[in-house]
Amino acid sequence: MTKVLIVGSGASGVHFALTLLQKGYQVIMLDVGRERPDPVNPEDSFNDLKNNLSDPVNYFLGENYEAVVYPGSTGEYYGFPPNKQYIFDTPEQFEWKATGFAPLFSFARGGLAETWTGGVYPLNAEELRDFPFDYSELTHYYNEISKRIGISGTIDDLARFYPVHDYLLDPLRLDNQSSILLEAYQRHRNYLNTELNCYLGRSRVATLTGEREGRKACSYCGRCLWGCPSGAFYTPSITLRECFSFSNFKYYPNIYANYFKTNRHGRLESIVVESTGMKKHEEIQADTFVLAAGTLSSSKIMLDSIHRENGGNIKLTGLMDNRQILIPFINLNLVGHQYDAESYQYHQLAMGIVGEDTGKYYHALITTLKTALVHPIVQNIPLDLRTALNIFRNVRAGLGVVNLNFDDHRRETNYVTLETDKNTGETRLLINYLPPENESAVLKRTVKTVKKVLRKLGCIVPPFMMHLRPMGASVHYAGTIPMSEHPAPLTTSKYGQSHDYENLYFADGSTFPALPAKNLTFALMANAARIADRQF
Amino acid sequence: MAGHSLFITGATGFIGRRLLQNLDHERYHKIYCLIRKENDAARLPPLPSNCQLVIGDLNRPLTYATSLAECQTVIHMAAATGKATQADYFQINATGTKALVEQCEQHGVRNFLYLSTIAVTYPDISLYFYAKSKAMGEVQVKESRLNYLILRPTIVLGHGGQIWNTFYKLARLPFLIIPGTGQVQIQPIHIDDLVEHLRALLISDVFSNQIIELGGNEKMSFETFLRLIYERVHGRSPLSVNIPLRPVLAVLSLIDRYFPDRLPFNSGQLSAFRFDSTADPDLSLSSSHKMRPLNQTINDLIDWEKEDESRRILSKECDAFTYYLIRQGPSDFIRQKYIKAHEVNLNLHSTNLGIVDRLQMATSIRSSLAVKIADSYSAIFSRSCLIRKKIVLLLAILESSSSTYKHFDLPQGGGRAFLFGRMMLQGIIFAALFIFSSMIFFPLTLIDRLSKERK
Ligand SMILES: Cc1cc2nc3c(=O)[nH]c(=O)nc-3n(C[C@H](O)[C@H](O)[C@H](O)COP(=O)(O)OP(=O)(O)OC[C@H]3O[C@@H](n4cnc5c(N)ncnc54)[C@H](O)[C@@H]3O)c2cc1C
Ligand SMILES: NC(=O)c1ccc[n+]([C@@H]2O[C@H](COP(=O)([O-])OP(=O)(O)OC[C@H]3O[C@@H](n4cnc5c(N)ncnc54)[C@H](OP(=O)(O)O)[C@@H]3O)[C@@H](O)[C@H]2O)c1
Ligand code: SF4
Repeated sequence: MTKVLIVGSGASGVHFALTLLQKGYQVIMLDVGRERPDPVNPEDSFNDLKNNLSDPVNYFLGENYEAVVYPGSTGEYYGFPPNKQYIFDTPEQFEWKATGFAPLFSFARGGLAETWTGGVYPLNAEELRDFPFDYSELTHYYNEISKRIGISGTIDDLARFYPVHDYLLDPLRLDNQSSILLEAYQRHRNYLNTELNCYLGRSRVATLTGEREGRKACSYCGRCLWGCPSGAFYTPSITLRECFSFSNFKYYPNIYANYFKTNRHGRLESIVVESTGMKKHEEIQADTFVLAAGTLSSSKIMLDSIHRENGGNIKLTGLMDNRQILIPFINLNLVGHQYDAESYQYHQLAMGIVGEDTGKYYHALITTLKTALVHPIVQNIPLDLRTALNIFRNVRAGLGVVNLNFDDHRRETNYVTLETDKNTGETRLLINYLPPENESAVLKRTVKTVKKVLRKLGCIVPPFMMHLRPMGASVHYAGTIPMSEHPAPLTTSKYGQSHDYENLYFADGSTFPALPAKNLTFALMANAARIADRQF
Repeated sequence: MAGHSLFITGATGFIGRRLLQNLDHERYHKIYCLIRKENDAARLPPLPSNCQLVIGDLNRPLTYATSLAECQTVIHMAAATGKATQADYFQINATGTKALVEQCEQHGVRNFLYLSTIAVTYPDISLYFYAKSKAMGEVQVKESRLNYLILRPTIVLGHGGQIWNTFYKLARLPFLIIPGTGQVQIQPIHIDDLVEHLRALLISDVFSNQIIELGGNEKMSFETFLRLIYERVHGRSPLSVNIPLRPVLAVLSLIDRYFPDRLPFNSGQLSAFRFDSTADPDLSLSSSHKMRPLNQTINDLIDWEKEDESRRILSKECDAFTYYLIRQGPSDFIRQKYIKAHEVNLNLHSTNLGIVDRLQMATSIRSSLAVKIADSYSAIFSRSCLIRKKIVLLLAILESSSSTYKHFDLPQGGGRAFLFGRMMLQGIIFAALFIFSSMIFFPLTLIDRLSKERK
């Protein structure tokens, strides 16, 4: 039986593996695989934790107070809690440098999506136009992934942008502010649809509203950001656990994959790996190799393999990420109301806007403020901190943020390559990104529309608080080894099969030839399952 | 050996507490500790299970007598020390010791360790009632049928000790004030060295009616000693002033007589500056324990004081900032967390600060209005200054703590219109304070910048 070796246990890797396992393949998965600590007091809600833990400050702020955001801190703020730091713990072998790009890397079991926000948005036929396969090829796998991970949502005005797939669970209970916004949308629907080309509806999220397979239904405990303690919120480590139940699956954690070795016929023979923490190299053989280490890490392994094979240092061009803008708002109708800590914490509403002149789809997620560390917000109010705190308390229930996403395209200016240390010969990943020249006009126009929408919904956008996130911050990386109909070097077939090495496949975002303005992970998982099913 | 029990007096004292921490508990069947009040137990270190508290008083022997029946050895450290009335010195140190000795004899105690003091050897103790009463205590012990050891420590140094506190206060003054000529010889001993010797004596279990004088490993003049502390505190040599003792003593003894409670010390205590406090080599103990060098003792103690002082300041800051933010004081947990954050984040320490930061920090710990004024200025002009960093840290701690997180969750009371009005008013007050604070801090910031540029 063919032995398939997969690098990476992220969203792409686990769904690729599960499909192969179901087909009876022998699968080996190599992973750095940092492990999640057990959830504390799993039955407690967010506020129960503050009341019941003997040292809640240690839990929420960390042993070394790493979650405290001091005034003047630089760098993009993600709000990752201390108990999720393991997700970003990078092995010492892995080095990188970036210009114009602020990347995140994960070497955890389950990868970056162990800390994702669960937004599940299938790409539609229009958005797959630049992909070398037909949209209909993916729909079956949308259903399959939906069945595997559990997606809640509903069919509403946004269905015009989000294809409807099977196994859609009932939507989550809406938090107070989200439901007020949705009601306001219903009242102004006509105007918003026709004048502003804007549609509002329920988000689709990978969160269970009913119990199944050892995972509980969402209990609205408000701990999503700190790691769902009941498994209601999907992360790839849940699918990894499912893989463990197959006897044809072998998982090797604490392994850092370096590069492939080829034989005389240009086929890959083995992968050279190191145990993390040790400098000893080893080789592991297989018949077929699959890179699912995340676009950037898979690219590095590819670059290193070519570099080892012929000493060359090439560029993989076409790196993409969604530009995001954060637009905070205050819903004046909710001033003086009390917020509900017992709610689902991430976004429950989404917004689709069709660009007036571009005709393109822009994607926005509306997150109302519920449980969170709030000192980063309070300190941003330009008042003394006591007044800021009082005002914050009064408006808290009405605060929220729109995260507006823009599409991206493969361009020559955006690439990854290697830099070699002259003394040690070790390589580091170099990332270069330049936004498109005409970007700002589109951004401005779309932001203006969003502001108009918010005003119509009864909200104000406080001045000077909008934030243009750096490229890299949306963590939707793609495009460095694109699928192509033409078998050119540094591309893959429509099934992710490398045009450089016949027994190498790419199962992650590296192969996406375009990046629509939508969170890509659902399409990523479906595509990984598609390749595994159709090609194996 | 286990099976034999111990009776300790003075366990809540400076030396007693440290001894209790370092005692070889497992050697004893039971350890009885005489304390005066039930809630004094809170001052004791964590106790092993074979420790039993006896609530009583030296002067009321019936309160403790029955416990003595089980004990073979008594360590008698209880005493009126420091500043006390003449009556108390004699009542506790002489009469109290006499009563204890009698009870020991009656209840079959065999060994008696008496913690006396080197002061009993001073050539003139007629006005030094503490020394006189301790000397009387010694007599009681010597004349008893008990096997005794009398230990006369010299000056005992350790944090929290009264003597060290006095020296440290003296050394922190801008000038060095030296009572007397400063030429008397002293030989201070670190409390841990003393306790180590006590432990060794208890282990050897030899009570051979001996008097032992115990001092540190260095003798020096009082003046040299005070200078050492001063230099370590200030980082420079002191200008010193000697205060002649005789006239001072004369005045003090008059004040003592007619207004006994008016002064923080009494004339007797000043005797320590008149006579040598060194251990007689013939009465010293040959021991394998090495005494720590005096320099090291001083360094350790000053380091501790500085840390303690910075903890005290942080604790005050935490009180002032918490009150400023939520109109209630912090719990101990919040204080601890605030202090700990300063241990892990060195950026929160006030080194190299400009005038404005220093002024803001110094005034803030005094009043909540000062915090508000400083914060109003920083909110616009100096958003990442020290005081704002500290208040933001506290916000993070308060929002994560059980007793305070609700202050972030619940709106201030009142209807919507009232709330809008209230917020407007808060905004106006902020604007007024901002203008006021700018008038103070803005010129100071400019001066600071200019002077830095000039440098
Ligand atoms: C805060 C946040 C929120 C997000 N929210 C959403 C959302 O709402 N919706 C959405 O669609 N997407 C979201 N995403 C994006 C989503 O997380 C990623 O698209 C997804 O995780 C990519 O999965 P992947 O498997 O391709 O790669 P990764 O998640 O990067 O996984 C890589 C795996 O490979 C392993 N690995 C890497 N290099 C090596 C090596 N050299 N040797 C061995 N093992 C290696 C790692 O251990 C890891 O297991 C979010 C991301 C973040 C950070
Ligand atoms: N510290 C020195 O530098 C030094 C130097 C040489 C000798 N000594 C001797 O060492 C011994 C201990 O000194 P210290 O510095 O530890 O003294 P301390 O801190 O003043 O402690 C005195 C202890 O005696 C107790 N006590 C006082 N009156 C009592 C009474 N009537 N009944 C029962 N207990 C009573 C006190 O109890 P409360 O806590 O209830 O008050 C306290 O536990 C003393 O005998 C002292 O003379 C000390
Ligand atoms: S998804 Fe969020 S709210 Fe729901 S159970 Fe999990 S942590 Fe709680």
